[in-house]
This record gives sequence, structure tokens and C-alpha cells, in this order.
Amino acid sequence: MEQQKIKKRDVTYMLINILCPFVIFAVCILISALVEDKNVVSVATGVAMVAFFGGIVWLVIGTDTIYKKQAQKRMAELDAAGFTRNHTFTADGCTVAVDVVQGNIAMVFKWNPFQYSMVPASRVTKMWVDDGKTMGGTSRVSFLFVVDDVKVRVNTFTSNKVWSMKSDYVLEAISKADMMIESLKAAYNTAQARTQAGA
Amino acid sequence: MGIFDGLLKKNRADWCDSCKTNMTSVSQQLFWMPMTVGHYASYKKADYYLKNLRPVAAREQIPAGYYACDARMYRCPQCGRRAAALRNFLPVREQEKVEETITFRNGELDTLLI
Repeated sequence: MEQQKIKKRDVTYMLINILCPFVIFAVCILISALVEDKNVVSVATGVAMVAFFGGIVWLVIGTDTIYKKQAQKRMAELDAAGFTRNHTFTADGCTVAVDVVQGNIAMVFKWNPFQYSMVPASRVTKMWVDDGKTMGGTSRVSFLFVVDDVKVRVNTFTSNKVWSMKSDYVLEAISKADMMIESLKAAYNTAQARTQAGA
Repeated sequence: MGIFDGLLKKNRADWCDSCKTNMTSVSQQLFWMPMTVGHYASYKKADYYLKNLRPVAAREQIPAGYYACDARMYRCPQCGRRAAALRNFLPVREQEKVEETITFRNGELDTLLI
């Protein structure tokens, strides 16, 4: 299996998704300002409005849909390549799959959904759970790991409210994060053992 | 015993409905359930528990993200009737997320808890 470097963002893909609708909007506004023909102005204004609101909707829903569909495809590719997915966690920005048997980790990122990054777990230098605990509770629980000096944060719970640390949602999220970290540690140990056996 | 008290006790595992008396706890065992966090499914039949529960000595032996089952067997001191109560929960560090408690009153789990 081919092992890649971690690339969290595909800049071209990001720019196309973020800037395209707003470039169309800006061009249409410019046309409506410069051209005197009323028909052209009304068409340009209409297109500008569609581009503006469509762009916002696209950023919220469209990119997320692409990411989720592509993540499923990438996972299927990994399965076909012989990657044993002992644990897979899909979050809003990143999907992480852990192969404890071979000691590998695969990731698919929201802003780079057309390729997966697979690395031996021995390249992970740090892994931990962040329960986001503050005075009143938490609004985010995640597990994090550093691989090739790139920090990857995977949220198991996010909210715009602060939840008690004893709430069912938070407890479940902490449990998920703990489980993924245990799984990463197991993959790390396998990868280390394989490296030592190979050396 | 008042009506409300009786109604409250009716569904308790440690209450013998025929003798109207408290049952005594005779055994307790912690089990590991092969079910991961986010995938809890409720099973009301004893067969599932007989096939899948694995005894563990301590809570620390349950892997992170897996469900646990705290099983208690009760016995009526008067009629000798037995009842088993299974409390299914997710152990999260020092805390627990309890999913449900299921009671078996017809000896279905007598082989699981001696």
C-alpha cells in the first residue's frame, strides 16, 4: 500500500469552493455598474444574488456533502487495498481510520477529499483527548494527534452551548475519543514492533 | 404498604411480588458487552446476554468505548424465587452513562449468575 504525506488542504480545491461564487458575484456587480443596458443589468444583478446566496449555501452544505461522499469512496479504496479498518471515525472536518493489525492510520480531510493520507502509526509523536473542560462544562470534545509535525484534531462533539461534563452527549463523546486514542496507541505499538522486527 | 408504594415496588428487581417482601442480593458480577459507544442496541431476550456477556474482574478491564453490564441476582427469603437485574451502562472514566436496567424474573439468567 502506498503511504502518503499528510496534506490537510488542497489549496486549489479550497479556492474554487470559497472564491468562485464571490468572484462571479463581484464580476456581475461590476457589469451592472458599468453597463447601461437595463436588461443586462437586471440579469447581472440576478446572477450576482444567486452567486452570493448560492455560495454561502454551497460552503455550508455542498462542501460537506462532497466531503462525506468522497470519504466513503476513499474508505472503500482503502478496503480494496487491504487496509483493515478496525476503527473508523467520521467527524465534520476529518475521517480517521485505524488499522491495528498493520499499524497504519488513514485520514481523509474535508478540504482535501479526493485523496487519502496513509501513514504508519509509528510516525505519530503525540496523541491525547481534549475534553474542552471549562468552568461551566464543555462545548467541544475531540481527540488529537501529531503526525509528521501536523496536528490533526478530530471532534467527537461540538455545540454552540456549554454542556455539563456529566451530560450523556459529553460522556459519549469522551468515550468515543478515549476509544480512538486507545486504538491509535495499539496501532502505534504494532507499527513500532514491525519497525523493530524489520531493523 | 400503600397503593403508591406497591406500584413503585412492583417493577423493582429486588421486590418479590408474590410474597410482598424485599429480596436479598445473592450475587453480583460485572460483564463486558461486545457493543461499542454509539452503537447501543436494547435486547430484551436473555439469549443475547447468555451468548455475549463476558465476565471481568474489575471495571478497568473493560476497553474504552465498550459497554458494561452490572448483573445482580436476587432471591426471595420466603419463597426462594430468583430474579436477575442487568444494568447496562457505558463506563466513561470515573462516570457511567446508564442505558437501561432489564429484569428477568423467570430464571432465564440462572446459569449466568450462580
